[in-house]
Amino acid sequence: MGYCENISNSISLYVDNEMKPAERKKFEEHIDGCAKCREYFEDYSRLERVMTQFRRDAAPDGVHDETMQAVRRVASQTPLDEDNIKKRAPFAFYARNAALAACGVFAAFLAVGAGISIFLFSAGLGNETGFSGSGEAVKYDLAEPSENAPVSSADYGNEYVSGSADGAEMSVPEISAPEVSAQGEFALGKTVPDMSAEDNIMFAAPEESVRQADVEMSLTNEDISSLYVTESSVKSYEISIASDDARRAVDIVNVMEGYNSSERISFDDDAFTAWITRRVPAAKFRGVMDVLRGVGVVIYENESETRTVGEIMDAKASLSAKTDEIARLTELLSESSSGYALAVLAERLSQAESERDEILSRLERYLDEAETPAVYITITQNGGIDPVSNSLASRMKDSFLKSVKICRAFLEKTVEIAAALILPAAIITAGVFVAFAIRRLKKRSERDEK
Amino acid sequence: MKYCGGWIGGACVNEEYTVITKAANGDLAAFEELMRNYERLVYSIAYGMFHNDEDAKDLHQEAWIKIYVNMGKCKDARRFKSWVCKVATNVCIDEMRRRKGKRTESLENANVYAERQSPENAAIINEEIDGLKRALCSLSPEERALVTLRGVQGFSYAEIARVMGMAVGTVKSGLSRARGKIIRLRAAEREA
Repeated sequence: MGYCENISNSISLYVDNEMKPAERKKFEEHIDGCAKCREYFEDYSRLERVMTQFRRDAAPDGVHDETMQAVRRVASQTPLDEDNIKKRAPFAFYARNAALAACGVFAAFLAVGAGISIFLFSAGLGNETGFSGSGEAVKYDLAEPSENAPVSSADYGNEYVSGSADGAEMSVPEISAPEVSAQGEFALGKTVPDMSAEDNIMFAAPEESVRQADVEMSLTNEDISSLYVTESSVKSYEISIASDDARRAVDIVNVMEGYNSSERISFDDDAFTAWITRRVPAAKFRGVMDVLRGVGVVIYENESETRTVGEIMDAKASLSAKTDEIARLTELLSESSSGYALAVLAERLSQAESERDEILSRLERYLDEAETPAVYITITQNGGIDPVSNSLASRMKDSFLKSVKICRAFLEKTVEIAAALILPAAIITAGVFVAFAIRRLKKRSERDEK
Repeated sequence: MKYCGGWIGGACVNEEYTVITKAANGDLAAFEELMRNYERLVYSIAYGMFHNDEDAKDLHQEAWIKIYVNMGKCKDARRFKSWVCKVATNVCIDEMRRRKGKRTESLENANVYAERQSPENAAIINEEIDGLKRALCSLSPEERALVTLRGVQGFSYAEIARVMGMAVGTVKSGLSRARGKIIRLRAAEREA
């Protein structure tokens, strides 16, 4: 395309110095060789020169003052547009957006925190670690040992974990007493005695009210004189065993003759120790001790004996006397017609019954101790290290639960802070939006008025 | 020395930003300071478009009143100069539209430059100037503004585009078209 056809555009770019050097050179060459274009170019150049004649380097005198006066007049008559003034306020835009951004971040923070909390709690991790927050005691599901099937070591899983996490000895809060097969050998035909009076019991077997009633019925039988004591003394044994597999040893103890009246297992700093108090029928005692000696190395063994036969006989005599007293009082009560006498007799009768119950309870305990001597067993892990608990999986589990604990504590704190801030934040946000809305409405009404 | 983003109208941008903010909030002293910095520019645009002092004064005044009232609409203080030129140019364009069909310049107005020349040259220059004024009258207000901003004020294409609210390409083609029209008119006059 030749310059002649589009000379106007090219000249315009040339005189405005908007041409690239190469194009500029080409244009100049063309102008030199083309008379028509040169003439056109000269007209252009002349136009530009004449245009500069309209330039004014200063306003004429008095223009400034006149203009300023006019502006002052306008300023006094017409207030500035409030909206425009506000728009010019420095950082107004940033402040508004920062407030909105802060609200958004706050909401996101709450949402994420709530989501993670819900996830953790729905996954049951909160309860597993015992951080229920309600202060409830941790529940441990220790399987009831059965006579024929050894208790699996997995049944202690939860206890090991919690013991490690809390770094303290954990006692098992609930355990069912195993059925005793040799019921017939017990005196008075009772099965499981009440163990609540035992001083050394860490946790008692559940009350079995039906069986207790059976015991009372048998004791209040007229044939009290038929009571007999098979042992003249109450014996107790202490044995401390170190085993290569302490938990296996505990399993064996749990399936021996008798029942556990207390059990405590400690797992702390890689040390496994079990303290078990096992009540064993007197007749089976020797066999039980032989089994115990076989589960590990016996470190300590001691047998103690307390003679109780005299006390039992005294208790039986007291019970007989108290029974007679009750019978007498009952008879007097039926014969008496005086209101005062009735009241006194009823009170004495009540007292006598209470005393009788106490004697019954004491007697029962004596008989129980005589029939099922206690064996205090201590089992420790040989070498002090439990191989399973020391395993990588166990450590990983511990670490994970610890991290869950930390996360949960963090989330609890977060939610607490968020809850404390949510009301002021909501009020501030609402205030900001209301202010914006009012300003907008005001502006609109002013515009409408205009 | 504090960092200055650049210079506009002889004032440091940072300092000027403060002055603009004050003026936008109704500070007349600050506004007068701004006016001192930019009144030459505004007057020059008005004179370049109308070619007589009387109209230029009126339009200058009108432009500054509009600037005062609409200070808040200047979104970017760094472009204050462009915004002032835009307001001034629009005031002139509006005035031209109002006067459509009427003469917008006084041919009796003496040309200062011509007065300083020899009588022969002065005659030629006067003839050229008068011819240019007549040719400019035949342009549309926008074309006249383009020619004025480029030829009189010496604005770059980008600046003109900003002031006129056009694309740079439109400025280029518009300028070329307007100039071509002037030259053709002048040539026709000469032939006649």
